Amino acid sequence: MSTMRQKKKADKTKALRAKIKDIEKKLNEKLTELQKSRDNNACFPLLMGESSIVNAVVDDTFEELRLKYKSCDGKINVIVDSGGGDIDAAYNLANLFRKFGSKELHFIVPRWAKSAATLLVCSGDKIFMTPVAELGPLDPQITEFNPLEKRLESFSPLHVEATLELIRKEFADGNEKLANGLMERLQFPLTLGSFTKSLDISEQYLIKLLSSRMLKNDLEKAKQIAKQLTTGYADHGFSINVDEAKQLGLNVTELADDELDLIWNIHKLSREISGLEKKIREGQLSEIFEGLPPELLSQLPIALRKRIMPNKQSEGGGKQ
Amino acid sequence: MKNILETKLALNISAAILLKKGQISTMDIRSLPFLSRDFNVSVVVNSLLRLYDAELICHKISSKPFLKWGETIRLKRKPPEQLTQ
Repeated sequence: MSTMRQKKKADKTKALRAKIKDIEKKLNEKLTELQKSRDNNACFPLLMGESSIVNAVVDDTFEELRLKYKSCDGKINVIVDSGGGDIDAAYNLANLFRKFGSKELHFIVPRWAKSAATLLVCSGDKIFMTPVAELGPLDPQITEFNPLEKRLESFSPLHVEATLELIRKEFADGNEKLANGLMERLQFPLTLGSFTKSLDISEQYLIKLLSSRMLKNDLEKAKQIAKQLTTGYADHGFSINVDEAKQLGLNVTELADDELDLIWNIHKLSREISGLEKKIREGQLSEIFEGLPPELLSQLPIALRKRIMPNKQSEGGGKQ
Repeated sequence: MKNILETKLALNISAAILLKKGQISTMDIRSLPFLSRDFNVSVVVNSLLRLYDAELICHKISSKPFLKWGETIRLKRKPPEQLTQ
């Protein structure tokens, strides 16, 4: 790559980094404002973006809480933006926040707290949601290689029961050939059993968390909600908005007025940072692209190749 | 159809980067310039983990102004290119 182009690229990256710093400063100010509006109770941003809740997240959060939130006096607000992750890690994280928010633990959801993150936000005393915030069902997602189709398939354990029901129905209707065909394509029974059993883990965790905090002294309600969240929705992507969450029986409040503006601004600023980081990375990727096999790069549209590897094109490289 | 082609291309390019560099971050995959905004990166991640002897590692990127994490798919054994260096 020419020195001129390298310099231009380095300047662009520098400008993007400076912009990120600026946005981070604004985000910090908004977090301080939020803390003031919440009786000066500590606010912990758990803005995961596209990262999943895994054990490393628990470790780092624990360290951060020990370092900066020791004096939070048992009251804490956690802003959650997460698509989910590992259910065991989410349960561990929930218990960690409960220790630091032993007197009052509020979860604030600007946009997403899906799947395992739903378990997390159900562990506190109250959930605050914007009108576009979403929680989601807790049926675990399993990705398995299907040897018959030779491809990866993602599915929920709920699909196992639905498939068995379909086979039962075909047998009952006298369509034995079809039912047998379906049976042959099913996986090993022990594997199927372990898939369906994984639903119980989510349900047990949720009952434990709900019945000991948000729905203290109402075990039946906790069980009912846990059942609905693990097996009651047809699809893992189902959007549980603020009204649906209220109907379920969770202690939820819709954010309004100034606090809604504040939370939404925090969400927008954090997304803006992610967008800029992506741009920086996109620029760095072009160097990696240059070392890739030409037969692979020739699959890319010409306009795109020109964009990501301008010097290759100018040298006459790449297939038209 | 567009989605299948997009996934196939994303998987091929990500696999090539993984084999060449020995690792690729989910941010790299997300930053592939031909992917649509709502592209499901986890399909590519899961496929890479299945197809190669690789592991997914989560690591802290920064802690200011808030904790940020990144995920990297790393080959358990270094690619031959790096072993010779």
